[in-house]
Amino acid sequence: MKTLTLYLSPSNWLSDRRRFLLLLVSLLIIAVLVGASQGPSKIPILDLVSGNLSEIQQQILTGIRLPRLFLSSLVGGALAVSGAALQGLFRNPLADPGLIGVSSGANLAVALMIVFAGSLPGMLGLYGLSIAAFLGSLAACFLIFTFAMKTGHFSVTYMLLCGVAINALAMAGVGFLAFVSDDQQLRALSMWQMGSVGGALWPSVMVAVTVIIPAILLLFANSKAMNILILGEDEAKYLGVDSEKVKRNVILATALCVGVSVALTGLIGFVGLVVPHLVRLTIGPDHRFLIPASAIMGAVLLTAADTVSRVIVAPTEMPVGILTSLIGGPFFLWLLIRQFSGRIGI
Amino acid sequence: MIEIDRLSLELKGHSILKNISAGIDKGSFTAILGPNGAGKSTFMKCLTGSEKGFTGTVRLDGKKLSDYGLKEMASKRAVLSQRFQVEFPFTVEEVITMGRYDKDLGTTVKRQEQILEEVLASVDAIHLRNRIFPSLSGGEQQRVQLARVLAQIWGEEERYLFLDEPTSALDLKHQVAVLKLVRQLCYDKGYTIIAVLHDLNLAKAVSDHVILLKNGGLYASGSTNSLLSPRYINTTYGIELEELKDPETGVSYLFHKDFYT
Repeated sequence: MKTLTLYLSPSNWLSDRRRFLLLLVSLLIIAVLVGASQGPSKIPILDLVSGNLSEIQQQILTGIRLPRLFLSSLVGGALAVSGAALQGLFRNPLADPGLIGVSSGANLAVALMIVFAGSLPGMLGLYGLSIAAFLGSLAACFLIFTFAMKTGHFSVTYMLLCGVAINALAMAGVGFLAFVSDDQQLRALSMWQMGSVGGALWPSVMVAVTVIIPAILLLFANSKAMNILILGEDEAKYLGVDSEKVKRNVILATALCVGVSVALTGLIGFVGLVVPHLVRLTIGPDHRFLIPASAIMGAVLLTAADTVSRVIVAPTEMPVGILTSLIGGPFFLWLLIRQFSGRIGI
Repeated sequence: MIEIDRLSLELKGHSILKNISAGIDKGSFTAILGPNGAGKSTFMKCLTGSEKGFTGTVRLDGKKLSDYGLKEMASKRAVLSQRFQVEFPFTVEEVITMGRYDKDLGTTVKRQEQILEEVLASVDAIHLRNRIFPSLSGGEQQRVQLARVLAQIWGEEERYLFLDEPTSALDLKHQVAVLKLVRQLCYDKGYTIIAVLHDLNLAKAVSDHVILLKNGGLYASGSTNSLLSPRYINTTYGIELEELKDPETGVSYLFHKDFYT
């Protein structure tokens, strides 16, 4: 009897964190169901669950909505996890792949590919763009890190200013490329800037799955060491953590996540800032839970945002990047105020 | 046993440590003393394996520091740094558990809980267990960090414990309590304590040996009784201290003459 009550009492059976993860998973299922049902042709959720679908509905589902839902979930998860990882790496809750220039590094590389390499067909082209974007974000990470090491610390101000500089440089590069590109390339470039999961097809999903899932697993495998790194690099060393290796892994995984996201969906901002923050507020900063919870919550958020951006201006649709920036911008300002109120200077 | 042989360090063209040779006996309490900027913290970083760019050799138990792996070092010594900043809202319990990184696999949950409770109790921080670390006061943070550092080597014997100004943020009561605690670990568990200290009378009370640094060089090294006297201290720090002996206990204190003349 005693063991039974122990087993059933929620605090023993499921910690708060595990319950939060379960809640997120159910939210993801709901978000996917709602996303699958909404659109120009509505499919009732009950029919979705029971599988009672007409042939046209099935085609809409497998051909259009499912790949889009998969892609938004994967990219949302990837961006949220990259935010969490970068924040841990820089020991700084204000890091976001968009703000500190990692995304624009990827963006510049994609623009270079579009204008100079032309487009390769199918999966090969998608992988090509992804690799270029990965290298672009890796270069940006490397740049930020090298400068941070030179000055010897990772202050918020410093990191954000570094991001401003990298963003400006990348923007100048993309602007120049737009200037020399032809009409078709120009259209492709400007679509990229806005960020959208529209037009997602199964090849994109395949590319996303094969890159994002391993990258998230790599981060998860390093999550305990990432906790220790928060104490400081010397402390991590004293505890026997190979901090150089952990940092390398984190940067690699982040660059993969951001790179493939930018290559497949363009610039979708602020997911990496908002999601880890909400997760920390709920279950604390332990990376062993922060990483998986951010992945799932990012998937929920971007899937929900994409559904809203599809429905809100029907029959057309708004690029989801506009919506995430609309929510994320004020959130970032609020964080800045919270971070710096009561301090003298920045 | 730590043997330091002609240790020198240059950073960005500046000579930080100059040709230091000294020995630290196993199971002793060694205080590192000296004026600001004498190189105390850097000297300690060389001994802990954090600063590797030095010339000369440092041997820990007969083996060169450069021959140790990270994990092997982590099982031999623990280090309390002077500054720590935790930007994320980890709880005190989580911070202390980090000290058990890599060690929890071999211990039962019951033992982990026991270690957590013991280290918390040892620094008078049981009541802080569920608090958010960054919200604590400086002194509380320092005690919790000490508990984390102790957790790394808790229950083991003959470990090395490096402490960089372990009492800098503590009130008088906790200064005494913390130094008594590490002194006790030195006696009971055979720990070798190496601590950068500022309060000379506290150093006099707890340490066996003293390493006096000045301008990056070794000024003197030897037993506490012989070195912590006005003769050495006044020239190291450039001050005027006088020694006063309590006739009843025979204990002597150092005090600033300037204030009383």
